[in-house]
Amino acid sequence: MALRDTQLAIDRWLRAPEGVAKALLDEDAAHPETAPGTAAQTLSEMLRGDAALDSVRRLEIYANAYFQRIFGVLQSDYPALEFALGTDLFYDLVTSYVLVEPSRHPSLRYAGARLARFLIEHEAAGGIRARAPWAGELAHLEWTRSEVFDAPESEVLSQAALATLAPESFGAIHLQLGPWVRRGAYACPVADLWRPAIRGESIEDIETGPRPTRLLIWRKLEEPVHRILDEGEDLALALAQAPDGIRFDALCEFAATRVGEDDAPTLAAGWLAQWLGDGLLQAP
Amino acid sequence: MPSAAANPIDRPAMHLNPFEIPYLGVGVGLRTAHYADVLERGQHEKREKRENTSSPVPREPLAAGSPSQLGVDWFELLSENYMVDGGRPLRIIEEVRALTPVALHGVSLNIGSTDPLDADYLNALDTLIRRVDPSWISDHLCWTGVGGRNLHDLLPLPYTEEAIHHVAQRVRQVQERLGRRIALENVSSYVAYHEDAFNEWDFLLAIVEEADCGILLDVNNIFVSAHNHSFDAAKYIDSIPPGRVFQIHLAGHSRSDEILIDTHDHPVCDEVWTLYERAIARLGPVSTLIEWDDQIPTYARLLEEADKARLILDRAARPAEDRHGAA
Repeated sequence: MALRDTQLAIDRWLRAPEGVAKALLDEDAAHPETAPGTAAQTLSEMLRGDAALDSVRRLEIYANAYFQRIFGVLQSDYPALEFALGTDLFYDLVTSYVLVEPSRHPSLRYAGARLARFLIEHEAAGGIRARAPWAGELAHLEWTRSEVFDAPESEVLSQAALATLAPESFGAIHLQLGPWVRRGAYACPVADLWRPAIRGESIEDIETGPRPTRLLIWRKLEEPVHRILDEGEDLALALAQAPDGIRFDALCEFAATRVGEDDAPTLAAGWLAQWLGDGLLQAP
Repeated sequence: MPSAAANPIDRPAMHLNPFEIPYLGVGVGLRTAHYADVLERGQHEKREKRENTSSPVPREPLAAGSPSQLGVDWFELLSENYMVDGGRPLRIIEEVRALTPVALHGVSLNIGSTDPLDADYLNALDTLIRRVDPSWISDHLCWTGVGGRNLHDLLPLPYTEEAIHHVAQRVRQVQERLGRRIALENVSSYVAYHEDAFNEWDFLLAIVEEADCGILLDVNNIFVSAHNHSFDAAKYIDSIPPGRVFQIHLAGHSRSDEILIDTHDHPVCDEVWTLYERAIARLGPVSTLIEWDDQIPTYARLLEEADKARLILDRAARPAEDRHGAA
């Protein structure tokens, strides 16, 4: 057998959801034109077994490791989701997920990158969606937190740097969110779910029905953090997240559309102070 | 960022093999669980160096072969863990690199796959190489995925002429892209192919000769595979040519039914230490690394394993009359 055919066959058997032995039976069933046992024969002609362990059981070692490795990394990427769903349902979720979304990245770190989309969109996740409609958004929040953890670096704009500016030059300050900052819009109160779940506390009393929530997720002192945003600040942050960022005087103009000319400078200055304190802005 | 020629611990390279791979002594794999210990010891070492510099009476320098405050001479970094854009992982390796040499060890080069080489992966590896200036880089003689999918495991290849030429030409491509030789590690395996036309060590040697690359000799993997496939581990060791080996790996394994599994969750077993002594007696001092990736012990416990390797290396480095107690 050519090397490529060998590798494609092993790949197929290792990723089968119920192990190699079942995969061989399923393969025969899918090809009724072939004699029963054809798939098993293909494997036994490819791989050697011995009295200690036959070739199928030897390959099962790799098949088990494949699933356990991905399950383990998804447990560490989605601890709140695992707690909120319960480990059994989370295990079923990962089983369905790896079938639909096999890892395509060289690093195991990204094996769970599509879990939120799978939960939100895929028909194979319909059962979990029915039981836990919030699961996709909770997964999205957890994945975004892991994204900002190792997002690109850039110098953070500090309060000290602004303190050296003359008051008349404040309007021209360039405000640009760093690449370690994300904004998220959710249909359910995902932050309310995340907080107890990450601590391993009951979520039974959490009201999980539809309640639009805007979140800011970013890296602060090397750790991922998030906080709830009101609509005005979220829209202001969107302006600072645009490719060209926004000048402070333009931010004041935007604030005026929210609270009127008189209160706009106070509102914009409040946002700026908050953003500097949170470490959201990158130095120009 | 360290310069290409810098040796951050001011310890001269003790030995250069024909590939100009430095002998670094004993290292351990850098793991998240040990970041705090490593950085604290690093700070201690820096303080000691500063005090030493300011003292009118110089203290005794560390003897060659003695561990620094870090307890090891170098660290191995898992390449994929640091192929990220920013954040703590990159800050940590820059601090570690400022303290001591590092080598990069990958698990996803996928050198044996029949998929095309992953250009994005090689670009990311090249970026990391430029960031940490490793003493060498390595990956595994295996395939890890096909059809664009990744199995995240080190799957053995059939030991055939087809596989030899296939892997060797890909290694040459990788070496050309990265501008340096790489080392390939022998893997533990639980399956073997009917079409094998070579034993494992002849397969390995044929590839490294044809590709002109180095070997990362994993002694535990030899022991595990020898058990699983009933071959003679000592014969494997005795076939390895001195000068090709950039590095040695030592690790623990576990048993499942009749098979040994390369779990890296135990201390190195006695039989593997014996094989290691045999390898060092044949190859001379080779930079050696303790791998411990699951059920990770304290850093102090890990250093106990590293010290066992150091004793064997130091014994091998002494002149013959010393080793035999001659006057």
